[in-house]
Amino acid sequence: MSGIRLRDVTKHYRVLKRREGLSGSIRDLVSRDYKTVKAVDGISLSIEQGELVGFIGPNGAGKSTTIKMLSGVLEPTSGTIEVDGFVPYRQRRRYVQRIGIVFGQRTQLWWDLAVIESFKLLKEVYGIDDAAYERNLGIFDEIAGLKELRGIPVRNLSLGQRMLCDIAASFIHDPGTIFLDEPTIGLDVEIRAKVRKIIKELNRLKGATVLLSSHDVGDIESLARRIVLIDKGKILYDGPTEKFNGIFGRYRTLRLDVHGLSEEGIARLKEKTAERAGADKGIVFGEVAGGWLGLSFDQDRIPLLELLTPILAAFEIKDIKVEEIAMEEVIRRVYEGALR
Amino acid sequence: MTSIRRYARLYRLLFAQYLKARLSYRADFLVSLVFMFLWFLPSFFSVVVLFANIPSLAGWSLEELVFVYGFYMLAMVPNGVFFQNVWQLPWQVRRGDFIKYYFRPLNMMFYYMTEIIDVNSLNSIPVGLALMAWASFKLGIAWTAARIAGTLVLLASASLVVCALMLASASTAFWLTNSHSLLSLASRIRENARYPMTIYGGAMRLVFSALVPLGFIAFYPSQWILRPEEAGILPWLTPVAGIASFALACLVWSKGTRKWSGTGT
Amino acid sequence: MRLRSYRAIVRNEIQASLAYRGHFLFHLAGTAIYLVIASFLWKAVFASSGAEAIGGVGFERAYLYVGIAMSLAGLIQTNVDYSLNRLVMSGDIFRHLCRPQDFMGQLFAESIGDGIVNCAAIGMPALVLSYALSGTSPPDLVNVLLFVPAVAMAFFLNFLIDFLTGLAVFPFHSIRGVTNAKDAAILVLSGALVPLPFYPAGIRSVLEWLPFQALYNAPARILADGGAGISEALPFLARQAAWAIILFVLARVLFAAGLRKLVVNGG
Repeated sequence: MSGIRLRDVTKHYRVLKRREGLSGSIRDLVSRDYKTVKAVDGISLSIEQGELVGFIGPNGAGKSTTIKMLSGVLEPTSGTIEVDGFVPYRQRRRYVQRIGIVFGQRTQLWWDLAVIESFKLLKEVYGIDDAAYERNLGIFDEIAGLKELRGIPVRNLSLGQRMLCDIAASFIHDPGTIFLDEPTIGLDVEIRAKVRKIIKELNRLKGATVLLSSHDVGDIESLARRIVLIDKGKILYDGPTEKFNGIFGRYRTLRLDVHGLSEEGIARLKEKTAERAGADKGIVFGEVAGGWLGLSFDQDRIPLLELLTPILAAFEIKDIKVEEIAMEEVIRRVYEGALR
Repeated sequence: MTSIRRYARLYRLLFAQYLKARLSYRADFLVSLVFMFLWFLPSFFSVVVLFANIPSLAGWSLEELVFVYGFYMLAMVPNGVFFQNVWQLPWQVRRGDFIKYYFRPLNMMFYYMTEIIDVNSLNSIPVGLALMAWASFKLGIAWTAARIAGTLVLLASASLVVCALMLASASTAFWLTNSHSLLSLASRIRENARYPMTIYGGAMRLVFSALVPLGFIAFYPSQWILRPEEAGILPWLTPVAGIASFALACLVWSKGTRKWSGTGT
Repeated sequence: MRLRSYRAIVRNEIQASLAYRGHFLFHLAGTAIYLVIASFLWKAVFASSGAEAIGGVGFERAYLYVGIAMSLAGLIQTNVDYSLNRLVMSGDIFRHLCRPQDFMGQLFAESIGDGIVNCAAIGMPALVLSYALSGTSPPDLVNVLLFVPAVAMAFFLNFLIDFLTGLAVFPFHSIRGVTNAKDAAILVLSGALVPLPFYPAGIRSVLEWLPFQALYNAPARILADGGAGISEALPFLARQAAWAIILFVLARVLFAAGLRKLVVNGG
């Protein structure tokens, strides 16, 4: 039975509670105090073969834990998991033959070897026949221009190049299911587009089920047809991506370089802007970080220029940035009922 | 079975790749070659100094102890070449990087250990052989075919004990946060395998023969080679010690990998 | 010079170390095992020699020299060479350089934190065990009082030696070979493995002038040589101090040079 099925899955951990201060450390030497953390608290999910599902949620929500359980590394505390007819944590070696997995910053290629040597090794490891191997290499060359990277040792690749290679490597044995955990983290715009393209193409060509966990709204927007939102170990939302378009496209984040402003200046800026926008215009100010003040606003209620022009006129702003909404904002809005 | 052939083929491939990559680090290779000899000299020197003051140690002469030293160096080679990655285990487990070893359809220990194939450790072979050659020449040992065969078997068994010791110590990383300390402790204790077992009282000797089988790493095998008349049964038990300890170590490892996957971050 | 800020580093490091209680257990266990094995070894050495004393020392004192050295080893260990290696190779060093504290001072403060905990958890118990296994009576108060500054200087010297070793990261991008050689050299040349009286006279005189003996031989002699007083301890302490000054200056000069090259060439 293909696809991914989770039923009432939970995962509990026992975590050490560290006491504060020097005397606390000394006390910790003799007696230890534990508490139970519910990383995943009853998740049920059903994904069909070939779907490309976006998996989102704040940090510590249980995303990584769920993916680890799906990949067979962790055994759930209770509940059942079935992927492609297998129970992941049971027959690890046979199961792993049928899946591909990419973990954000960690490469699974051999660090000292050239890219193509890693691929040759994988060919041996997975027992891929020559025809399929050559065919897949051809596909990677075409979609992601892997040909130029072949002879470079993995340790010399840039983060983006390594990510492309890792993703290609995860597909090379034609797995039925792929798990991608933060594949675009730390990448610049250009490479990110390439990574999204290769994921989309490979999903389309190979018909592999892809579960994509990402903090990047753009990834989810462009790739996922379905979104699963998880927080505090539970599923908050499981449905079509369209419902999120309202949030994704509508809310933007404006960043202002307020290096030149004093504390009162910044306070006055906030005051004036909130005044002008009115109480219900949906503006939320963030913290000042590194000399930049961020604020998220609702484009439908107050267009960018209407918001920005008065600010620029009255205050000395050195630079501005307009960004898509941050994932934390998305989730906050969801809690506030933006999906209803 | 096809799976053994598969692993053998994989290993050959990995080794070749590794060699290629390593030789590109040419400067590092040469430096380690030099320092390897420098490292061995001082501790050897202290043994020589000791023997400037005494005729023998627990009834064993300088030449005999040099032989034991050489045997020890050879017994260390397989561990040095194939199991060097154990030292990274505490960090890899702690940082969670170890998780990637679960994701390939490979035996995890094989996959893990082949990450580092330390060719530099082969440097011990000429040194160890030289020591053994010098000593056996001085002692007038006749190297019959039987003796050579026996020595090879003993070396193989002794290597298994060494690998088992390091593997088991490192595997504690799946339970403890301080496994690195335990690993250092294990290698320090292991160094004592170069001394005659006869210096210990009964209780300690039992500990070092049965519990942490140091005696089988160099001394008991050397007894069979150098003093077969007084060797007794212990040297013959070396292969048993080797296989048993290695099997036990593998068990600890596999229990560890299963356990860690349950509580890893 | 804000001493209070350095004290904060020390306290921080103590707290961090205390979290690793297993680490101390293993270290102490290791040292204890080593001391037990050494007692067997040296008993055998003296039994084999047939003489009461070798190089002018009997079993008790010879064993004490080795035992004290082993106890000190856990105490004065700093790992600064590895720290330097890590800091430079990862680029983290710049974070430390941006603080308003002297760089070497920061590293030293961290080591002190470790040293204090190591002393209590490993050094002291090990010293007690050494005396127990040697079968001699505890040292005189005079010796103990003189021992303290000797250990402090040994600590400082070891820090400097490790620091200098760590500087190898600037030209070689790795300290592995240098640090292994350093460890081996110290073991042999400091009298930690084999007490200096065992060495042939010519070599011994050379070794007594090297900084390595200041790490282990000097403090061990000061503590274990019963009946010795300030006048016997003074030459050892003086030599420790002299090497401390020399190595300190060397360390600062070489570090500045290495750092300049690093900043010029980029990370």
